[in-house]
Amino acid sequence: MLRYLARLADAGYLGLSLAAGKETQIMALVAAQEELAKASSSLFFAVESSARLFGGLLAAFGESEDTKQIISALARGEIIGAVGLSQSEELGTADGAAMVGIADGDTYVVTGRKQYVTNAPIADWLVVFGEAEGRPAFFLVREGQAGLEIGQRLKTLGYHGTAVASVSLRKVRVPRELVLGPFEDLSPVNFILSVQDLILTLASVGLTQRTIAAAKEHAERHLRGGRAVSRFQEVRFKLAEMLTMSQTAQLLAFRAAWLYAAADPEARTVLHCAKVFSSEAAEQVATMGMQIMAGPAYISGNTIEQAYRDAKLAGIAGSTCEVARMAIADDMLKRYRV
Amino acid sequence: MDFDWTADEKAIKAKVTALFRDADLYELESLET
Repeated sequence: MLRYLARLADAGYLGLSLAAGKETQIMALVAAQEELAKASSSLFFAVESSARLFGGLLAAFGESEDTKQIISALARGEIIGAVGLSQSEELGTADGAAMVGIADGDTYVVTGRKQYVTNAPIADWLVVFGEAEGRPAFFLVREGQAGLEIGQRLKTLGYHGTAVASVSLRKVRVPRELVLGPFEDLSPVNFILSVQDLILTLASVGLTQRTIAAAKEHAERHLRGGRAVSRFQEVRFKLAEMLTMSQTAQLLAFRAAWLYAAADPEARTVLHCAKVFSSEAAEQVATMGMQIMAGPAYISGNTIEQAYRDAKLAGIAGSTCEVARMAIADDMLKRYRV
Repeated sequence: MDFDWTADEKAIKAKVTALFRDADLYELESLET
């Protein structure tokens, strides 16, 4: 990943923000993100977790000189960031999983654990969500810091190039200037969840495009009865369905990004719609790709087999499809303009 | 190389593709990445 970060940094890809208010910039960024996701799911997710999730959080809520320097280093591709995030329900629990910072002079002494943190094994800086003084806060910790322990890299179904591990903090001292918050409410968490959902949506869109390219190539080259399988109606219908789903997912993703950048009150709802549709589309497109390629697709080491494994992540990470559907219905019934 | 962030969608995507023209894209998905 590191060697490709420099290329993306030189291109200016890492420095752009998903912050609201920059509609033109965000549409260009979304186009670039979609293309990177098409090239490599793992690279895309690792890069976005660092630049947009970690960097976006610091850019939106970091106020110290230290956080500004970290953001600059991120944009230059010199460092990698990771975000340890859990649902708000974790706040205030005493099950050992919660992340709690106890004030001690100019520092917080932080203890807690996060089970799944993308980029944790390769990150220079990590920001973990928890509570300080009974309120939501993010603690910024540096790799190698006393009391910080990164678990073994976990084996995952897909996204094999993305490093995921647990993160444990045992009485880690975090200076106040490296604490984002404490906040009055969970709006910073909702911000980061939206960024994460947009990243996962674009990951799914890119994945459908990569799958379609592989399926099309196979259908045109592979022969059955002396004819390319792309000549058979059953295969053509599948290819048509795959493209229709991909195009729809792309359109919805772009619309969600646009609304998000415009700070439209319906942005979160449309983003949930986009995430649900695109993640399920990626699974269905991968399944149809499998049917077209058949036996060879079931052998490990090809694009469609990889897509079949990768596609599952977006529906269960960030806002799961179930949580997203509940939120869509809640919002629609309360106020959505139909 | 730098992006022209005001360019159209196809031009931006072509820039991204160019960044990884010499890369083994499947290798990017390996556990060693």
